[in-house]
Amino acid sequence: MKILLRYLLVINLGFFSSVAAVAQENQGIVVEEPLEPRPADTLVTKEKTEKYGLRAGIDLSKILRTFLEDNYEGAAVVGDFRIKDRYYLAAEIGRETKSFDENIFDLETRGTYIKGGINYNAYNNWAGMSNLIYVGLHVGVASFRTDLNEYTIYNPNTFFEPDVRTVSREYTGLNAIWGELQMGIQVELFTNLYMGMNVQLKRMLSQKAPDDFTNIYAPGFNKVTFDNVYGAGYSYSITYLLPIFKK
Amino acid sequence: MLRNALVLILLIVLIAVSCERDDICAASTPTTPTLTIGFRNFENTTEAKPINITIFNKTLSDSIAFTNATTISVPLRTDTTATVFLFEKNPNNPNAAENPENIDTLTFNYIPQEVFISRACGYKVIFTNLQIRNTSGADGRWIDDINVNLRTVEDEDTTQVFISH
Repeated sequence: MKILLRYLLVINLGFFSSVAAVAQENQGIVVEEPLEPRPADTLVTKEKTEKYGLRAGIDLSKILRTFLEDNYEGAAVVGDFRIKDRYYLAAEIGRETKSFDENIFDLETRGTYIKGGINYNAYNNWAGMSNLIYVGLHVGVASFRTDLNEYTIYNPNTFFEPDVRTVSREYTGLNAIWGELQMGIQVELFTNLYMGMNVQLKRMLSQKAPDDFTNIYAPGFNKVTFDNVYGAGYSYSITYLLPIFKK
Repeated sequence: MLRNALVLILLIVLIAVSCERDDICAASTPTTPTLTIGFRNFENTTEAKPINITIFNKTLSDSIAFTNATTISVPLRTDTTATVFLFEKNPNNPNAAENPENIDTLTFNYIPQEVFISRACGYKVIFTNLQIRNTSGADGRWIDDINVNLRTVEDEDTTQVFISH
């Protein structure tokens, strides 16, 4: 019934409008066709504001820690490349040296690492802005060595003097592979200059540790805890976007 | 929204830093063991016999005293293959019924073996191939016999040595 009524309405409208057009023509008014077809208002092409390009920079937190912490030295280069509206290919290459001077050990671990993965931007920007609140899934690989300089035999009995052993054991060819969940933000401070920070939750997938010792630090992974595959980290970065094209 | 995210991330970082695990070696973890010695009656070596004993190191600079003990534990040096102890029965008691202020010198020989425990505890030493010699003079020994029950010292749950007196 409803459909029938709608048809009637359409037919009536068509009829009346044709009658009106005829009436206009009869009045001698000629409607000229425009010479060039002009796009309708609703199809105006969007201005290209979404910047795509390579964003590269340095890890500020590692530089800061190098200055502030006596037993730390590190540097890293970070970068990402926008591949789709909300997706970025991201990578990081760095090196770290960390020494531990504790009661039971005096050692130093140093090596390099590389991380790569995909970031998803969950932030809805206003037109023309390109900030990020992102989550990322990354894989990290580190290659490092540990030099054990001194250790003390753990002995709860203190009748004899502590048994301190000065050695120079070099454990080379150590490695670690882990998966990493990143959560972070990238804020455009000035045109194309970004400040970023993120937190990282990591899960060790495989590691090569010394036969008669353990890994207590892995570059890029941070502290390796005994009998626990999880780790955490954070970083601050400053990056510059080299726009390649706009969409 | 961005500012909120920033605050959130800073909070997570702070929590992550403050929750960093302390690498403390738990007391329940077996580390370098002491040697456990049991005292038996020389007339019936299955019967425990209590003793008052003071154990001195080689230079007499340090000692451990036990009173009315049937089982004692003594440390072994981890940095060498032998430990010498002076075992004095009935110390400070010149009028004891048997063996008043009697000192026997014992030499413990063994092979120390370094074993890695964990990140928190580091290394321990266990002792294998334990041998004990009574190196005091032939006269006036208060120790009747030394019986090494277990030549490997790797825990404190077992009595490795029995001394009868």
